[in-house]
Amino acid sequence: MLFNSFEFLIYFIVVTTLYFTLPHKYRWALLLVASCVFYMFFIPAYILILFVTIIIDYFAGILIENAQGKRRKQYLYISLVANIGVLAIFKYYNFLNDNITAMFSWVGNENPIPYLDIILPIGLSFHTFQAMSYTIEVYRGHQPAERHFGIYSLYVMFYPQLVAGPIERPQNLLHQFHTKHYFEYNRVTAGLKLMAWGLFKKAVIADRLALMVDTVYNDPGSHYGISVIIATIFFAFQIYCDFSGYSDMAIGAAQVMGFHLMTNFNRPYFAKSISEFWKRWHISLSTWFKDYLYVPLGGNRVVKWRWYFNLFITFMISGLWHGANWTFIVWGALHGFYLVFALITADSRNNLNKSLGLTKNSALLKWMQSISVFVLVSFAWIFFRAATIQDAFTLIQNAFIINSSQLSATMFSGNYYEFFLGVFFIVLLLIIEWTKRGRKMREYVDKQPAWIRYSLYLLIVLVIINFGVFGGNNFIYFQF
Amino acid sequence: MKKLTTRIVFLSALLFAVSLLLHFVVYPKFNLTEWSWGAPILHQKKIVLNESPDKYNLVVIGSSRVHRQVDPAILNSHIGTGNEIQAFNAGVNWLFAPESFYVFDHLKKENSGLKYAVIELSKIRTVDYSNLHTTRIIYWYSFRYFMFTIKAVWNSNFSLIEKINTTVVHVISYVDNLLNLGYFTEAFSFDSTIRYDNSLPDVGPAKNGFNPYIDSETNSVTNDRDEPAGRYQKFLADTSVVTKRKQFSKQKFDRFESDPKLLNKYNEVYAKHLNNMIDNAARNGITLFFLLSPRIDLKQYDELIPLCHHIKPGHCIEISDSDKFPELYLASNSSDETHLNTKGAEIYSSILARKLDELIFQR
Repeated sequence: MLFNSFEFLIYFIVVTTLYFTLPHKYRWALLLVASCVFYMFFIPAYILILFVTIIIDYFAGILIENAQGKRRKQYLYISLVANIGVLAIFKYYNFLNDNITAMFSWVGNENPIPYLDIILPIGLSFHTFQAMSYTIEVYRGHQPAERHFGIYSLYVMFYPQLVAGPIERPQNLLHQFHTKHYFEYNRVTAGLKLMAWGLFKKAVIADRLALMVDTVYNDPGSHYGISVIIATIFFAFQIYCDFSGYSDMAIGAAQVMGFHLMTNFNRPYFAKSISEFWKRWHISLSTWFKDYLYVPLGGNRVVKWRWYFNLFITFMISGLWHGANWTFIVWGALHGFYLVFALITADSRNNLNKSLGLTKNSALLKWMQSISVFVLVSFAWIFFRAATIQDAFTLIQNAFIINSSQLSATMFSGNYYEFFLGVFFIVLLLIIEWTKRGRKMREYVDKQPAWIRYSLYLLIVLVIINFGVFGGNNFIYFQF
Repeated sequence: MKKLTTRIVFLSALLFAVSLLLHFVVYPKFNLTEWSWGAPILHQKKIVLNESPDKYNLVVIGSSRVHRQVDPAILNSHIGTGNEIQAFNAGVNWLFAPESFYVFDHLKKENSGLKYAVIELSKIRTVDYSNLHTTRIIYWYSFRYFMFTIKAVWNSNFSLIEKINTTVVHVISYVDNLLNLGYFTEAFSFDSTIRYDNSLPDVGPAKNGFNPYIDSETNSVTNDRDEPAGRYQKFLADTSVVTKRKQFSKQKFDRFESDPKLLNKYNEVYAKHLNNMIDNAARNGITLFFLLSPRIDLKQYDELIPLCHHIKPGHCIEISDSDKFPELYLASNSSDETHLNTKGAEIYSSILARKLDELIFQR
């Protein structure tokens, strides 16, 4: 079930109404059943895969807590192997086999390993990481093992964040299922407003930009110069609005019922460095990698070369997490390279800025830094969005070929309205995000008389309905 | 909770009121779309018809079984003395009732020369959930079509689940229509792409709307099963599917022939609507026929055969019985399981022309 569907609207109203109607002791059961129904809208049988790992992790958590010494580690490994094993089979087996086939054919032989005819269960990567964070935190002693099987299941199945995050930590989410949440008007309406804002980003901006991005990226050989550049900039905003829109809807839906999910995006395109970008983009994933991979590898408390290696390998694995394709690995590696390069050149860049008279607080420097980060991030998005490495290089090569007629002839199919609407909504988004820095806009709206506030809400809903792109666009991050 | 519910109900009512205002007053003023905007092929055909509104006196409306199989040139030469009829193929892929009735209502208004019309008979269209909210599904609704749809569905031989499902999707689609769902996005796209596109490579005046499955189209190489070539390749792998359709058609017609009482179990709402359409068309000087095509979906026979029998005499053309028209069920005349190839279309058009000739000229 998609958040931007009519079915979800009905589902959400029914589940939320039942949630507040039922006594607290039955609410976990309602949410668990509702979450299963939500997941089964995609491929029903795949819920069984989730339940296999749920059973393993539930018992692993209790066993880790009860065990002493080496036993604890053994139980943790069983849990990690089960989770990573499921992910490896469904997500990476055929990718690995593709590469083995390529190696065999290189030496003139046929690959004897069979391919598996399977589809990646939706949101498996998110589910797996959330499940792993539970057993790791129990092992580290930061989280007591959950004894209530239903509530543990709900922790990894909670429908708002089940298929595309935010990837929660047990310390933040698990205890909330034990707490009784009351209906609070301000909290509920704030959640609904966040959902509406998320839907606006998804239906009005992301899906509109997708029309033009897909035209270029699905046929990279036919597009040149400005078309490739615009399509890449549009993709940067498409993926941001798509994913942050989903996160807003997830956080909003949970907030309506009284649950607090972690912030997943914080205006990433205003970041002034790549390192800051990763503190603002998909925060739940970047902190997961930091806590469970980067820090255990030694983080920055090691010799310099090892620090750079730790950063680079963390981002390469993050790329692989996004998809079983070399394009994602290159995307991750590029970000790793950006970060290492930034560390190596930090002193010389500071010296250069000083010699140019640009102080740390200089507005010009801040703007230049934000624009540079956007350019670097957008360049990396080319690999993320392209179907193959070859396509990505074709697009990069074509971006330098100036052929202005390509802009009108192919990218827009003569439909300039969509282009201007896309640009208009991107500018609107940036203005809103800029003013949101001091929560200026929200505070301003809240101070207005009721008729102005309601007119504004009505206008947003009307814009979503009239200017939205409907008809079954999936969220990009569902594939991960 | 009461406070929130009250406010949401109030806002929803306000939203609906504003949407209706936009739908019925504001948007028509902007003239961003035309009645045919939901289906590009339909719009292209409309352009051809509008260029010479007096030229054509017969239109055939229906799904791909019309669009791909009815050759107006054969109708022109085979009906009457060969001079009386100027036919136009107004078929569009996936055009079923009541969208086909909507198309007829508009063609009737815009084409002053129209004397005859043929509409392919189909059961009320059900919509796959994956197609919900798309322009094609929602653009044609009006209160009249919506009410007819719901009434006809609940009087049909659908199972209870099908009735509920069909009702739900039509209610959603009608609400989408009234709320102008995605209106600007699609209307802008229509206005800047196909609205003024009169290049008409497939359906232009030379072809009078006809777009047959030609050999080059079906013989090209593709893995896409939705493409004509893909469907043809799938069909070649197992041509027995046509034989099964033939047997099924025979079984169904034999059943009604051996027990004519079964013909009395028909969709009265639907039949009444069709007969009213015939009367209304007659008042506009148009003789309206309904057409039962070959190779219809297997579930449709039980609904459509009795319906055809309850349409006013001389207004339903039946070309579906595989016993009477075996050549329309030959693999050699097929482009896929449900469609005829060029040769099949020629035979089919000749049969339709003969039937129309009999009905129009009382021969």
